[in-house]
Amino acid sequence: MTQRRSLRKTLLLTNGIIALFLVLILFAISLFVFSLRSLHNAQESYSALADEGSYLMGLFLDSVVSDLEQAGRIFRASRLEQGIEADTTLVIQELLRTLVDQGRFRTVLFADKDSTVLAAYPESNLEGFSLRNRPEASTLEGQIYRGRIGLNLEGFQTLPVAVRYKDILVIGELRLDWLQTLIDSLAIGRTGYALAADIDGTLVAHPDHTLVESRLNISNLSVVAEARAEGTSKGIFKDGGILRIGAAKVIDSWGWILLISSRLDDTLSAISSMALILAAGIIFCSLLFFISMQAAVKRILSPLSLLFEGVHKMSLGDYVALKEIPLSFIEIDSLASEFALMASKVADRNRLLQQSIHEKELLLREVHHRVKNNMQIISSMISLQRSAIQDSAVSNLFMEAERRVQSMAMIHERLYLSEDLASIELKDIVRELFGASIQSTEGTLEVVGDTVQLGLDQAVPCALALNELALNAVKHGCENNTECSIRVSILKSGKKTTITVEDSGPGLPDDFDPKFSAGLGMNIVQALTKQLKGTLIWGISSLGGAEFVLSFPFQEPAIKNNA
Amino acid sequence: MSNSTARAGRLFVGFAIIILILLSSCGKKPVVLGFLGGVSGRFSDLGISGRNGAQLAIELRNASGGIEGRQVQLALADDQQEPDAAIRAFKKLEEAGAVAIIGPMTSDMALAVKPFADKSKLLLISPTASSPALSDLDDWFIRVNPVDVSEGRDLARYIQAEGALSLFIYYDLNNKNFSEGTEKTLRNALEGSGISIVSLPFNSKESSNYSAFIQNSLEKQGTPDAVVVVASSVDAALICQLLRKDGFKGSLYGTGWSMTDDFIRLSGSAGEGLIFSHYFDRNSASPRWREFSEQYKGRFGVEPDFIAGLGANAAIVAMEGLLAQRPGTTLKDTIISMRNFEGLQGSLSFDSYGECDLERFKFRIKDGQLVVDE
Repeated sequence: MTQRRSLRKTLLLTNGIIALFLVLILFAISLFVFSLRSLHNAQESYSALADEGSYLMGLFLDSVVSDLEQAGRIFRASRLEQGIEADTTLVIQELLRTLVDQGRFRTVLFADKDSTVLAAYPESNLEGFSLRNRPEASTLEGQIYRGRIGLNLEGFQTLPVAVRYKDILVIGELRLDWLQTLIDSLAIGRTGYALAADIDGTLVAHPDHTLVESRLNISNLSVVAEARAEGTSKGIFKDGGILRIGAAKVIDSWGWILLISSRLDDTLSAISSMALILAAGIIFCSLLFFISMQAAVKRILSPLSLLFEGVHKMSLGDYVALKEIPLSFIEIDSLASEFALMASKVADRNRLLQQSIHEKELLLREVHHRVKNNMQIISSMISLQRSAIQDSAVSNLFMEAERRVQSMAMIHERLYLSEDLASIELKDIVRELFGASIQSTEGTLEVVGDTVQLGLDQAVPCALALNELALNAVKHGCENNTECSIRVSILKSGKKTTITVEDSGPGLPDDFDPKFSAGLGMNIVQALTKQLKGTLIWGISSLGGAEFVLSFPFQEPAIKNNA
Repeated sequence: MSNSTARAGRLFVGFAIIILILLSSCGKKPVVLGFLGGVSGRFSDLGISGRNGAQLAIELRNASGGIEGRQVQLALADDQQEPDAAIRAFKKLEEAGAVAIIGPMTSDMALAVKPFADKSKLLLISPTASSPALSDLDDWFIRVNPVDVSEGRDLARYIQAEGALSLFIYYDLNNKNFSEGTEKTLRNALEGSGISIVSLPFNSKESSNYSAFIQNSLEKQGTPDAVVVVASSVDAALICQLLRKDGFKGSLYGTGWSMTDDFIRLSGSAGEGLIFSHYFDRNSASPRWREFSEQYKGRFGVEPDFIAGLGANAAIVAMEGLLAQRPGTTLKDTIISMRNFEGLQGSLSFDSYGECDLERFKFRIKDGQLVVDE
């Protein structure tokens, strides 16, 4: 059995989910702001590190230049003191060993003013080689040549640095792995690293040494391009399809660029995890909200729809449907329960009313029955009286009176035999009255037209008037013609009922006017027409005889029984 | 109420569709072009310049919309001038989804990877491999440079014209197909000329201390009138320096393998006057080349050498071919059927085997510059 829930609680739960959803949205906005802040902080950190790193790297690089200058001084001094052949003295050898063996230079070359190698360490067989086409050969005293990465005569990628001391050119070919050691300590995070590029953007130091070996140029990186133009830069940039965040700084006097960066997703890894949880939370809340809304809608709409149908059926008299509403929320169940109770009470009351109506019907039927019986008694008494009268004229008067009483009795009989006790079919009255009148002849009766239900108020005068017209039609229409025809047409047009009585008799005299008729019948007809608030027209029938047209406004039967 | 539910349902479905679209569509996938060349070690100048040239050509194409809206991405693989490494590099590029490969840069590496390219039907477009062993084959190798037979013949002609009577040919077996081919062409071309020829092969992989080798050759064979050095820029520069140091005063000749800035820089005055036969003039007045040179200098800080130009030409051919390629056709067939391409220094015209013949010029190193020798 389904457990009933409170709509209030459900609405509270739904609102709670919405509130949670809003909280998550706020959390997402906070996360976004926090992300921006984190990126800003990372950029600032990298920028500070790049500043410091570029300064230190500049110091290291300047120190090697100083060492080269020192080497040039000592080399020249030793040559002046000991002659041209004495360039391999212990002092020079020690100095060169210091420069090379400490891992800073791959080769150190000393050349004369013609750029011919005077001495080289450790490759002494380079002596006598020409350096004329090397750009560093044109270095002037006081200048420092900072070259580009290129192959040396040993086939290694090196970065030449040159100084001139008087007529001695000193070229040191910097080892790229030594340059790498300068920036190794600047590595950050799991995917962070520092790199250095020369003035053209060609890598001189990178954790992936093969990139340096292959002289990869990174001047196309936005952060490097900006640093080359502005001296410093920071921001998010794309490297090989990967988004990175970092800062770049130009190393003073060298023009090189130090770039410190890390993968953006690494920098935002914590935030990414939070964002992932947040996204999952939002999706979960959305699903929960959707499902709960679906369930709530189903639990509200279905019972409400059935309740509506039930109430509608109740208005049509079906009081059972309301009992079939399934369980919903407590509030809706209570509403349905109250409606069902109301329906039950209305049904009980309706039953009592039906019972009362039935009793009244029985009573009314009995009244009509008794009226009819009394009238028949009156009719019988008149008939008895009539049998004692010898004078045929008087007897006829009695007979007419008897017929009129019978007509009224017939109306009451029809009424108590009718279903609703309130209306009589006009055609039935016509057939009864005209049928009884024409029975004594061999004439034919034709009743045509619309179905009209008359109430008691109109049925009695109408029946009495028709009785007179029937008697008149039979009396005059079939007096000398036993095969006469009588046609009664009934027309209901709007609120008007029209009864046309025609016969095939000799017709009315030319000067006929009911007002001046001496007969009681026509007077009765006129009186009853007036009572019916109608009109009476006469003329010549299409059957050849007389024609009477009785028209009167139609009244709905006063009592309508729906049972 | 039911309308609201239906609307909520539609919104939910719409939201889900938007999320799916956002997840699934992250832009068009780039077209991957491979670059296979030696970018490390003593032969790296060839590979580095070729890669830079191809890289710039691709960047310029990408800046103008790529290939039908798709960006072109250059995937790099270092062959280290080692056949095994070259094969590994080829497979690496194949796995990376390369639609064509710019490279290899030397004939030996081209011959090492060609069977794999033929099997995979992955087109190799070499900027510099010039061995005749790669000629006239209906294979998956094409090149934007002419075969080296003409280079050997030209050098022979120059040597004869200068009246040399003796010739040493130093050639590195580390790029055997090219160097042996050149030596053979020279011998054939000079046959009957009266010039005595001494072939001096060496292997740079085994030792780069050529001091004794050069001294011995001069002592044993005498000093020649002319020397042809068929080696990479570093080795050719070393040999030239040693020859001059040992008193050689004759004419020096080189090949395209060493016609790089590194050679000019490292050879110093020893390389002065050295003669090349080549088809690519870095001082060309071609507007397209001048524009490319400016862009190259802005991008890499140095003037482009001929290898950079050929690397760019190879990339241009590949990209033009990809642009014209229609479904159901191969890139190779598309390029062969297109035949003519506008290179940086004029038209490149392929024959049915993907060979490209170009007019050669005589170049000389003069005052540290490579100039056309009138």
